[in-house]
Amino acid sequence: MKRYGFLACFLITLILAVLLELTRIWVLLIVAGVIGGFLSKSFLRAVFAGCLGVLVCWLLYIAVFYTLNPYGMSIALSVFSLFLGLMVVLGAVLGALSASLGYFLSQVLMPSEKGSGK
Amino acid sequence: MYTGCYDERVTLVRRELIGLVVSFAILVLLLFPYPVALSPFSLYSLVDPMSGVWINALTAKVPAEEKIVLPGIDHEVIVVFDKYGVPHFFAESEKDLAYAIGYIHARDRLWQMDFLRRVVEGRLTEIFGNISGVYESDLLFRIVGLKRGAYECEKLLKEKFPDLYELLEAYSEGVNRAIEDMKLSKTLPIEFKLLRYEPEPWTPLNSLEIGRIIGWGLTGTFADLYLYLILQKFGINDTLQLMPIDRYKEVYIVKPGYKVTLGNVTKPKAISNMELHLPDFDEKAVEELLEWERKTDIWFLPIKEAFASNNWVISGFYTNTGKPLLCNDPHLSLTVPPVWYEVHYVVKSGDEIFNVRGVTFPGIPIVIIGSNQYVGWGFTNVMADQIDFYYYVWKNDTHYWYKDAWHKIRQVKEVFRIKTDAGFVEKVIYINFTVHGPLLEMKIDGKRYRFAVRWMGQNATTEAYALWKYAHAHDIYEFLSYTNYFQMPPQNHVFADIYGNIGWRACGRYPNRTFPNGTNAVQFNPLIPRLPINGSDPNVIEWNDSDWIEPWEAPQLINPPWGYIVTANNKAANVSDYPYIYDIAWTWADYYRASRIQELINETINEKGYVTIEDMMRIQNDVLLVLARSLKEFLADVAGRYGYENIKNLIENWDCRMTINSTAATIFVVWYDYYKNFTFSDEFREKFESKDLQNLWMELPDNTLEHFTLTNKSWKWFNDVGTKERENATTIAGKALKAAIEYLKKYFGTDDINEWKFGKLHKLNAQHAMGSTLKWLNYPNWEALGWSNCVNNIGRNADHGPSWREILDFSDLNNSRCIIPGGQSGNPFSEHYYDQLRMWLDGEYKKMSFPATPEEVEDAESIIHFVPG
Repeated sequence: MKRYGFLACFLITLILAVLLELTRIWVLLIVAGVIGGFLSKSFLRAVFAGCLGVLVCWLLYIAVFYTLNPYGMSIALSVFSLFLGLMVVLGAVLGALSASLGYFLSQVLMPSEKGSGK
Repeated sequence: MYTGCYDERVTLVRRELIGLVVSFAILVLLLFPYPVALSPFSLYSLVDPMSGVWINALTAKVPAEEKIVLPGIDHEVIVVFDKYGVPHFFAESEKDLAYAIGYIHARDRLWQMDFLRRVVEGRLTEIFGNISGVYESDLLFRIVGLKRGAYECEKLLKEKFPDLYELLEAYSEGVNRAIEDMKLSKTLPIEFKLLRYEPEPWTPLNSLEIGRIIGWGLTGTFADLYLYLILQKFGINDTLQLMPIDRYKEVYIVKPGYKVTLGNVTKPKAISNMELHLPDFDEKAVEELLEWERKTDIWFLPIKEAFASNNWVISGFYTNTGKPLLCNDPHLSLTVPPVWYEVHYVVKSGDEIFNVRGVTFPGIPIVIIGSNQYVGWGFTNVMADQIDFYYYVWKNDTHYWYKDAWHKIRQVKEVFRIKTDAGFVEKVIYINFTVHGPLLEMKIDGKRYRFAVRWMGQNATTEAYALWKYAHAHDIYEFLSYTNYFQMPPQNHVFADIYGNIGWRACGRYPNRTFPNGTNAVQFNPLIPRLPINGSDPNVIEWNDSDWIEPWEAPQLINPPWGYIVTANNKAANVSDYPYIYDIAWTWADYYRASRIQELINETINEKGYVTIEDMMRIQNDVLLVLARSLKEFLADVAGRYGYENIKNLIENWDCRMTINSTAATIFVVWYDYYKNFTFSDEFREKFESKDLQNLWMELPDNTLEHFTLTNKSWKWFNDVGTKERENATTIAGKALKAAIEYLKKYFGTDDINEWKFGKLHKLNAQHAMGSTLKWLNYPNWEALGWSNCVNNIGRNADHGPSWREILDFSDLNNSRCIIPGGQSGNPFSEHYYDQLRMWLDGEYKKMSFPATPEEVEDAESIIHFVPG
């Protein structure tokens, strides 16, 4: 199976996360992370790609919402600044973990020559 | 055999497997880590970018134009929102209109609607768990039976007014359609996300339940019980001095001597007997009950009456246009979102078109206060006594004595579902009933206390029909005919029409309390409605269910010769002019607001010969405190005697207005509180053990203290029973002034009285139901002018006040004005969350126009086309 570097995995995770979020079932971001991680050449690349992919996806949504309703979003962001921070951290952690899961899954199902290569 | 490579692979796979399992386990832990115990409000749903709070922020701004398919409507309904988010509906039928109002109510106020129906049904524990006061609130409302009352109304409506019931069904369908749409788009109001639940479908019964909770807020008082305690402790003579049957100064709605009623009202009998047989229960039971009520108040504050509302109507004879002006500002709790939701609609009804604007309660598709193109109306609370408490002689836990026999209580099972960390816990209780009603029960020190509650809201009543028909009236006479159906909570309706007629009726159905032989008991003794009743007395006083004091027998005025009608919760009429006055109410408001409004109207007419709409705005926002004007000279004198020359000068030069920069206003209100406290609390401390009951003096009318301060400074209540000296009004007032100054020094952190601005003391306190935990849901606590008993009655804690200001101009209804204290939207991220609040506080108004077509709506912000599916 062909495996990819950081940029490709990041973009795959990001695009999938954006598409899956449109279903409004946010836990599906895990699927994006898992697939991104599954295709990664290495564990660290997988974790960073998953982490950033989900993080950027969520920030993109906030940015788009802000342009659509600056008044409402500025209030929401001021009220929920703590939760925004929590969201960023949680999104990043979940992205990283799901990518890690994907990576290990690929290694179990289709082990690469170099093993878990770090 | 060499197996190194195989072993390496096995080790590697084992490592990957471990990584897999560990990653999976941490993921699962992160996804489900939030037990309810962390908080009653979920953090979990907040962080989701697509359906968490962000989506509520996004959808707070509605699209400029939307098309929504509603399968339940027959024709297109157009809804144009103006720049304040007020919807203007244009519909071909009342059914379509009700459907569309349901949809829009839900979109803007769904959680408020759900919260209120839960209050009525006693189901708050299902969403909040057993946090402070919630179970007590649920229990009280289940016992009193608000839902049972609503159910009785529903049965009656189905049978007698099927057209109205159909509208409630259409409204429910509209609400439910909006709920489904919001569920699908994950845009349910943020409160549902915070509390992690989804609303159940809306039903016509729920709309009627909202009516019941409003009714309870305006008539559900335990005042009979505390008056009983005062009477028990102080005796009848002292009690009647403190809380006289007729206040020392009254300003009646009806000028004394004027004929006030239609119908077959008979002449009053002489009040011949003031003897009382006091019941045998002690203060602990009442204390417990009052504590119960207080806990409950926290949860139904949204609609708790604040003992104040104003409305008045002025004949065209005295206006600059030659047509009437009608004003109304009902004073209710200042809640977030506001109690009212404003709507305007144009609808075909039969062959006619009605153009109606006013305010609705979210949950009810009917304009409660407002106007159509012919007739306008406004309400104040009559302060009616529609509740009584019965106590009995008990044989055992299940049998009570009533009319010469032991009777067994009837039981109804109630099941509570209480939210806990581990899901829901069920709790089963049995509500016990006597012939008079459900029993409020308390067990104190092993002794059982029980009061049966008889409340008008337990009956099937017809005010929903009246309110619906008001919008169909063509003149005040037709309007008046519909008021015959308005039964509870009794409201002073003032009304006017474009033909120049004005009128008032204290609409409501009032209990006719009779002895077993059928004679009216209140005519025998006016104290009877004010006290608990002995249900085991052979001569028991009961409500005559077949002979009420009906709305058409209530006091009323049509085009009175003096040219205007003012009501401000004050006494309707002198007993010599209206014989049932003691039957209908006794907790009237003091005369202050009514007299001030009359004074301002008279002054303006004397000065100019007429009044204008600008004068009406000025009067509605008047903040002169009549009580302060009355006591100002006395306070200045006291300040001088006690060496506070600066305060003496300040008070002497004060215009008695409660403005935010006034320092005299600050000193007066704090002084007055201490003055009333020092006058009465010593006697109450002596008589009552409980701290709560020691504060019952707060319930005494201000007019009593005012009267004795001005007429008898040696009145015995001024004496402090805890000292050897003999105090009088002046010495108590001096002591109060000293205490007030000490308090204010501490409060403001400075001795400089110029810094003691009233606005720093009196700040707006409009709270969301979850606002004690989530303060960001509350409105800003801006400095507020006004005070209890001012016309602009923003109360002492600034948590209640004018919940809607309306001025109707019958020369051109499009020139009318209105405002609500907050905004139309319940979404905290909406521009309409509190976009009217500053204007309201500053005494400004919106134009209350009545556009006939969608194109005529001024400052249209967005439009929805509801199309049949």
